[in-house]
Amino acid sequence: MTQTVEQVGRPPVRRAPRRLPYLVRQLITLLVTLFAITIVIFGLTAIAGDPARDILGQYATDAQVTAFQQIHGLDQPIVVRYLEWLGGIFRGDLGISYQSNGPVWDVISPRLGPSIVLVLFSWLLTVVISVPIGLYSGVRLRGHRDAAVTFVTLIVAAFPEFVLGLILAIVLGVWLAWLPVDSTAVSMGGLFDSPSAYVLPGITIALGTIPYIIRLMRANAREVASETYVRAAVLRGVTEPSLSLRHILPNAAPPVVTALGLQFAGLIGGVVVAETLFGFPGMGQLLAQSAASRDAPVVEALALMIGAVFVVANLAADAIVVYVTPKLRDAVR
Amino acid sequence: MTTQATRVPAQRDGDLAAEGLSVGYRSRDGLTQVLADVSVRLRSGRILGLAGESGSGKSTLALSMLGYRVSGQETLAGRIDFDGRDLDRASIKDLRKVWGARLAYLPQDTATSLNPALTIRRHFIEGLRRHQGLDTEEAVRRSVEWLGRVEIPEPETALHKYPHQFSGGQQQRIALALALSVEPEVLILDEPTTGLDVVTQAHVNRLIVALARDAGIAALYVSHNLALLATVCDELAIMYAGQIVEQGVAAEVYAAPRHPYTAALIGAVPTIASDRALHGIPGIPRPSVPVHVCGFADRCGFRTEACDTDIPLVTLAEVRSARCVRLDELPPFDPAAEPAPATAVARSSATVDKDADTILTVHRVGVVFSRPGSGEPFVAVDDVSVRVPAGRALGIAGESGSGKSTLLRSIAGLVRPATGTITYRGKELAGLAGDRPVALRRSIQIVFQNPDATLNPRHTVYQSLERPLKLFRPDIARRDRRDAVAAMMRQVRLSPDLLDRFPRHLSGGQRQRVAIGRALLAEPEVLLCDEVTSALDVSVQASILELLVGLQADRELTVVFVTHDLGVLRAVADEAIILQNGVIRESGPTARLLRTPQHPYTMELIAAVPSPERSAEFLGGGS
Repeated sequence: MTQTVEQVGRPPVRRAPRRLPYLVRQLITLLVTLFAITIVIFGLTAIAGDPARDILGQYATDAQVTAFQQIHGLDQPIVVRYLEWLGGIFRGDLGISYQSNGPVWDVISPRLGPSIVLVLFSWLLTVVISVPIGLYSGVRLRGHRDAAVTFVTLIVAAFPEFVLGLILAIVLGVWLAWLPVDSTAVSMGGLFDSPSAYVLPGITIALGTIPYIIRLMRANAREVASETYVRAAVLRGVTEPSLSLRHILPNAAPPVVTALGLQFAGLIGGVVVAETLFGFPGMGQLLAQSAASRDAPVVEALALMIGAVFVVANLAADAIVVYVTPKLRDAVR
Repeated sequence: MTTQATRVPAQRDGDLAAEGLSVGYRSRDGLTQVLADVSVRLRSGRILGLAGESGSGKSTLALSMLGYRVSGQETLAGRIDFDGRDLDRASIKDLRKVWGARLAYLPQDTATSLNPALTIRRHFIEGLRRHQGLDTEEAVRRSVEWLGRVEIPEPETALHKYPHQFSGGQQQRIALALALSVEPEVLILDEPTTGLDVVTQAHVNRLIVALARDAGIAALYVSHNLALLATVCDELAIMYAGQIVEQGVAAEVYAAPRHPYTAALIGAVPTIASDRALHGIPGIPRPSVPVHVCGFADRCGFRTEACDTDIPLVTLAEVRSARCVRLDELPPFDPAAEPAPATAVARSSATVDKDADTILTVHRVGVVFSRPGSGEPFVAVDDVSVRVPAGRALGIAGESGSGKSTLLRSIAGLVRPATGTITYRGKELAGLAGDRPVALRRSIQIVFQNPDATLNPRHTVYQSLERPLKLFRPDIARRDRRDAVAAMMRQVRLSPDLLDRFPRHLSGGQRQRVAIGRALLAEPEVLLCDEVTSALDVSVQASILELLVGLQADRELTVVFVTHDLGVLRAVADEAIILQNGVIRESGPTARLLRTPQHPYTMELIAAVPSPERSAEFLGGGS
């Protein structure tokens, strides 16, 4: 304390530094996170070792290996390789695929559309199924019927996606023959020429997250339903559906919105499994194939895209939570 | 007022009455009866006060009278009469027609009575459209009118705000306007001003009474504060263990209680008016309805063998009844008398030792916070200087936001003052407790408002109490710790049998005793108390205050006690300071300060204290 005697007692009133607007702060977070992701992805593929030998086969001559390394710049120090890769991303150049020897973008681009449609479809399916069921069972169901919902979600959650996918394929595809078991048709014709090919993989992916979202929605709805303001609303004569939709849902939704953002990661994990299972020509299948064949540039590009989608989805979920919660809306200003 | 109160209006439409109501809760352990043969009638234009400790069944009765049942609740006998219909057996469809239309409910917690996700407008027009058949435009007009009536500034703008954008008192006034906007015939208020500041509390209570009387509403006002009820209500019903133990005209019941429990409750409410001793009620209320015994018997000083039977409610006058077998034998109520077996400690306020050494000096201390969100600086404590004499009790009073807790926390070293110094026995204290030497940390201990938040729920009572010994008392050998802890348990009047229990097994009052014991085990010279009784029932509060006053005297402890309740201030503090907006408005010996206040703010605070003797003045005040 170096104040003079006159200043003692009256606290000095200093303004705290102004904070940047919420959206700008979020955007900075986004860029920093993406930058960190590029380091991790590149680091991990580098740790995996030199792919030349794996790709050229054990009978390749040393000269062939050296040539491969020169073509793909593998003889450079890792920092140089990383900076070149990073620079390439900014120029829209994702590198050359080890397998096709063509640009990575040409390998990925035909698969982008189908996968985006598939993920959005399964995500919508998750929302449309989980939120109403969770809300209803949380607010209205008690006793055995409530326990039944919890039990079924637990059973579904206990099955891995490939088992669920197989069961669905057998029941809906083989016994009932309603849907094609093989989704390769998607690669032919336009994006929406064979809609039925999306259904089985879509449901399989959604079933991986639906039980989780139902349970979360149910738990939150139940908690909110026991709040004083809900009892007060009931005693003001508020009836269903207004009670659930207007008084309970907005207060119970924020954690679910956050989870739906986080679950994008779960969905993408499901995409790899479901696409491989149903022969769906998307990015998940490509990721699995490229990883198996050590096609590092393709894996890196796909991982970066998935990472970007994940980060954006989470930040979007955060922003939505802030937007729908009046209290937070005031706090972030 | 007395003439009006003794006249009993005839039964009429719009009256709501519980008739011989018995209610139980069914759980895994079977049925627990919580209400037994309760009869109360709410009459148009009058307010019935329902008093009782936590767990007495008063909230259950309040909700039951609306026909509302919580899960597991069963009606065992009786009915809820409304217009000749039994609400208890009405269908949910019929109930929804009267809920929020003819029957209105104002719940306890100001912070949770309004939905945080909805605008004030949405709260209002929902009910007005449904129950009054108004179109949106008309509903908005009516809402604005009501918001104005409860003195919300700029009602048109207020409509588009969310609940959190208002203060606690404003929120409760909005909730009141919301309940009254549908022009109900009956209003049920469950502790509507608990958690509000004294001044705000008085303001909301005045509004409640004025608006309810104006509209000829029949109201039920539930509270554990008997003095408050006696001030604002026409009639009183005292509830204990699910039974009405006394009922009558408010002023008469308060002035001359007939049931020992009523008398005990009155004795437990701290007042600012006199040196009357504060008496706790020993023991804890029984959780369910008594069978073949008076419910209050185990805590009553007048118990005889005659009490071991089912006690009927005896009608004493037209609107006066009491449930006690010894009504004719008991001595008349004397507020100054010692209660039969219980101990009580009165503060001798006359003898303030002028020569007492100063143990703690707060010199020109200022504390600044930045507001969350905006980051705006905010002066919580503004140039405050206080001298705390050794071995005495200093009270700090004020409303929330007055900086009283912040001042206490800066003494404790929990917030760092921006300016000024705090000296302890002539040595300057470091701003934060972590920078102070262990011996000093030991000497200054603090007890907080909410024991639930300060006792680790996963530690047994013993583990919590052993901690200060480990930290501060190397002189006590490990094997002697248990004895030291047990001795402290007896000092705070807890059974050492409770040592291996967890906090959840203890009542709120018992937990606060543990928290006090934990602070005392460090052998402090200064004990800082931050609203240590405001989360407790009045009867429990009285016994905690008794304990503190006794310990303070026995141990020659210096106590700094923060409270918003001037009655509590009077009961514990030799000297007091009144804070407002971080500035000291007045200071001096407590008794003198409260008897002859000099500052207008002190007068305002005193006027806000409910006082049954000056009921008309209280209700008319502020207008």
